[in-house]
Amino acid sequence: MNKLLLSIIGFMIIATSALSAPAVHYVTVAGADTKTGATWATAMGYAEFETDCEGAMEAGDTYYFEAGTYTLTSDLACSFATGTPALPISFIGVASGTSAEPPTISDWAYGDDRPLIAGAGYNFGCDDYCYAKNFRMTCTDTTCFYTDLNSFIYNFKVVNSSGTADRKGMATDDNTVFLNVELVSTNGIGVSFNYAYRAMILYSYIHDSKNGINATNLNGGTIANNVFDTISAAGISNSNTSDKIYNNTFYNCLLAIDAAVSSQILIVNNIFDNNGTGVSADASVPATIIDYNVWSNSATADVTNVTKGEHAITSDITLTNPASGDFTLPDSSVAEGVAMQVGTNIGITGDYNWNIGVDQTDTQSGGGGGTTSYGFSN
Amino acid sequence: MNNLIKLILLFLIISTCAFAQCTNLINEKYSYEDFMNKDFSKLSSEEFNNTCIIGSNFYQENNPDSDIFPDFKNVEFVKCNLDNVLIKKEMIVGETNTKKKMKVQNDLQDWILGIELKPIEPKNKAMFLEKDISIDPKDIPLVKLDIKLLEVAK
Repeated sequence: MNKLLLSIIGFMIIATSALSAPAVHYVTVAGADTKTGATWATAMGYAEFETDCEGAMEAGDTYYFEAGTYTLTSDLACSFATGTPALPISFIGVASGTSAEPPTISDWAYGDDRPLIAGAGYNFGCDDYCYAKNFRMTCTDTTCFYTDLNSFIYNFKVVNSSGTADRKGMATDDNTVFLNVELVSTNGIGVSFNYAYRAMILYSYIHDSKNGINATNLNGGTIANNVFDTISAAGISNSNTSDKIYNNTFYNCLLAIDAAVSSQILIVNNIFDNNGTGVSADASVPATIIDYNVWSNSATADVTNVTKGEHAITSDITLTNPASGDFTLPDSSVAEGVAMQVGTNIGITGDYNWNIGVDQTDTQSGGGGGTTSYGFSN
Repeated sequence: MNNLIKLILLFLIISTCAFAQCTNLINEKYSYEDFMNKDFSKLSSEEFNNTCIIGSNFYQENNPDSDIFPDFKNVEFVKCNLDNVLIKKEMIVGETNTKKKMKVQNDLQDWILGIELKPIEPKNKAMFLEKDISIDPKDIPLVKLDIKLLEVAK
């Protein structure tokens, strides 16, 4: 009897260990064969994926999605398990026809070949340490895609086309990094940070929205190398204490940055072109560094309640073709080589030639500008 | 007795699987696509007659009972989003689809509607409960919330 009991316990331990191992799953729109997800030949369909991620997902699991349209028929809450630093939970879109097991970076999906989450009136969410790469999503829900802490979102386009005001494309918490994302929220907010310390949004395109980023709760965040285009309210609303906003291009925003009442914000190396107002604060904000920006064609004012800084360039800058989504600098632009950058005043030599804005082209003879020893007089 | 339960379960599983499959030919053009807010009522019914549409999104935001299809015959829908779409006689819509009616109310949230398009419960019920907000339709504000006032309040 004891042996039988031991055998049963042993079997349960082995079975539990087997079940708790992180797994690689394969998902296609229709699924295949037994739909267990163990291989492409037995890929899960959307229904099997939903059941798995809402009821059996484990830290370290990776789901590869082949290109195609995945229609939500309810909220997709992939929060049965939480990722960890060593074992994040990954959702990765791969190109049509991918057969590698597991796929490699060369199989990743881009453009219209990314899997499309047709969210309708529902949302897609995951918990901490959630990595979501290479997707598109449409929806009209209050938030299309959300994550919790320490997540990483890459190559993800979200369009929230709701007719109701202030709905969100994405939302997240502390330390999440958005990289190469495209955000549209027709009457709402591209991305909203919920009590998010140190989150980052980098190299992204935020456009045709009411507000680009709601930074009300983004403390110590980094917003860099992004393009904000055609924003009917604020590109960055309520920027918060210690936010770093640099090398962005703000084009056609009613207000590019609402500095509100926060302090210690860094706003450098940005192009402000064709906006209503560039940067506005409710009143003078202490310890805010604003300098090395280009101010061009502001309809109302370049700045309100803040100063532009000693190295500001106020000039009519002509970007290549913003109406067609081309925000590059024309040759020999005034923005070339004159950004805040490492320079010879810190003991190094050479011309590091950093431009203002997102485009780091170098068309000027002799390596462009940027030979001055940069610094502040106070 | 146990065998009877097993038989019932087996029957339920088999019937669920059966409902998830098409009996008509799959409509390749309209399957696995995102057609949110699109209207097909002006199209020829020939595009749809006697076919099965799988995994597509036909959701009509904020517009319950939208009549978006032509008068086609014998069209099956499997795993589709048909929220706010008017379900007509010739549409065969199984349980794998969603066919709720939803509309934004004065609280600026989507509510699921019942008879006579009256709100029954919020679509994001879990969020309401988490934030301790009433899910009773009687507590929906009588006038539409002003988003600007909400922003000031924040």
